[in-house]
Amino acid sequence: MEEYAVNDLIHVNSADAMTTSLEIAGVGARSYAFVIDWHIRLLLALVWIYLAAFLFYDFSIFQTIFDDESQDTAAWIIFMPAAVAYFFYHPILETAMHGSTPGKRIAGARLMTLEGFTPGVGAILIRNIFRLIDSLPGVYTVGLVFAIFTRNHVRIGDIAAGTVLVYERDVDKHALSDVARQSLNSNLSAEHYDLLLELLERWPQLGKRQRIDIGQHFLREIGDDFSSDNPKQLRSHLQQLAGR
Amino acid sequence: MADSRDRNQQQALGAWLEQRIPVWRDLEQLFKTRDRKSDDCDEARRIINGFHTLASDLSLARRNLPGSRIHHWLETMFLKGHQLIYRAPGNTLLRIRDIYAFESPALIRAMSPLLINTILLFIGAIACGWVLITLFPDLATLFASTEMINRVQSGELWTDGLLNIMPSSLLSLSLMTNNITVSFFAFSLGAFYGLGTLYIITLNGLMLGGVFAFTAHYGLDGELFKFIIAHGVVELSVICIASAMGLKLGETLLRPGTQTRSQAFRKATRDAGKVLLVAVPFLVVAGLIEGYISPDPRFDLSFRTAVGLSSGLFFWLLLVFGLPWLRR
Repeated sequence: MEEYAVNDLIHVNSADAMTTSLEIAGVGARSYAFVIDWHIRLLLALVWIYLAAFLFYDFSIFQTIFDDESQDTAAWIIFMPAAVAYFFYHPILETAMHGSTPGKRIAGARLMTLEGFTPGVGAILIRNIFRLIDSLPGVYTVGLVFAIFTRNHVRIGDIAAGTVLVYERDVDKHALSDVARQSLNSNLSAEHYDLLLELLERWPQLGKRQRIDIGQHFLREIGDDFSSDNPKQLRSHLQQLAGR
Repeated sequence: MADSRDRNQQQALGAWLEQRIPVWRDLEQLFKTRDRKSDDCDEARRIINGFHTLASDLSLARRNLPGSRIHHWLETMFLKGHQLIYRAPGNTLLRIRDIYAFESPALIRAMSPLLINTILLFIGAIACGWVLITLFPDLATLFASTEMINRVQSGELWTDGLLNIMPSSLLSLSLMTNNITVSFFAFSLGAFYGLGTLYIITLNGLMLGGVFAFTAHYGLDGELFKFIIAHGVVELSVICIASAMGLKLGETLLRPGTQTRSQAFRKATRDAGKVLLVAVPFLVVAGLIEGYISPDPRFDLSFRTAVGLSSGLFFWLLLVFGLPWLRR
């Protein structure tokens, strides 16, 4: 695994004397996830404020709510859930989504403890308390500096909680079926079969010329004498080889 | 010769995969459908045995199929199994009960010298603030805004008529947020070798003493005391406890003992987290008192004092003794 890894790795030791490695998500993935999450929680809070005002009162309430003691209940109903959504977004979702949040999921990352487990509620709360100093003096400067210079690319909150942000392993749910098909029906070696599946997966993103070049190159590599300048025919032949 | 060896290898691999894939499928299904609360020993045994065979299959895949899909798939399954088997069992509600009843009181008692020193430091800072503003009243601008100073000079506190500015709910919400933020800051700034915490606790003490001295100059210190007493006991107690935790964090970083600095740091934050879990919810109570009772002129001093002392007493009893009628 290590020879294919682009980023730093964290090694998880199991009690069975096995070690497995996970790719550590760097500052880019971390910031990307945070920006997405920040937009979502801001949106959630604002949507609640306007929705609650619209459903239970009317928009004119915003003219009086800040200076009228009789609007006490309205203020609770409108602002309390919004404050909870904004301030507790990370601890609530990281707990409910087992170390992930929508932003982290989009960035392909999730939290894990140094021992390779999903972090518990305590670790998540501690991690989030330290956001206060990670965000100092603004725009997460302290957190970013720590994430850049620490070995596991973690901010102070992660050091305190013993957590690390790792890339979620993107395993195709059909992987086992593909391998079964290959072992039973295909004459290709496992390496070539993997390469073929990857080529087929990336096919839609490739240009016409690239499809033909890479496809022909692959066929030459496996000693197949099929030749065509038509990407559709080429793809259909490759799919046949993959047993799909 | 080499071709024939490759072919044989390929066939052996095919046969191995053919044999193992149904086993992996069963295991994948078992990982997905297991019942966390089940006490089915047979299911547990099948998961553990399956995990062990998975580990040996992963070793083979690492050697013979490095970087392949099946290698990645087995790694992912291995991590799932590792999480399933080796993660400590947890019951969140029971953990919280234990923290409130036993763990937090034990931690508080163990760190009582540091806690007393922190409280003394806070009182010392209050005294310094008082002396400073009594001797040099012009320095009040260090601790109070121009608007506050103007209102005190005109014979009223800045807290007078607070409820005309915003409703109690919003006031409580903003005060809760502010107090919780200050407490978390006081604790987490301890990560800077305790210096950040020292700054927060000293500054808050100086401000409190300074503002009291300034209001005393205009005969309004009694009114300020009347405003603070209902919520202040709990609020200042939590800030002192959070600061003591922050100082402990700083001390841990300076003197990690036999552990590495990061191990000691993690342990100190874990301990602090337990105490803060008990202490910080009281800031919600203090915020409600500060929003609904403190600014309301209908409540007299004796009622406010009773509220302040009883809430403070309950807070300290819970923190020091926990829930002694419960058993582990």
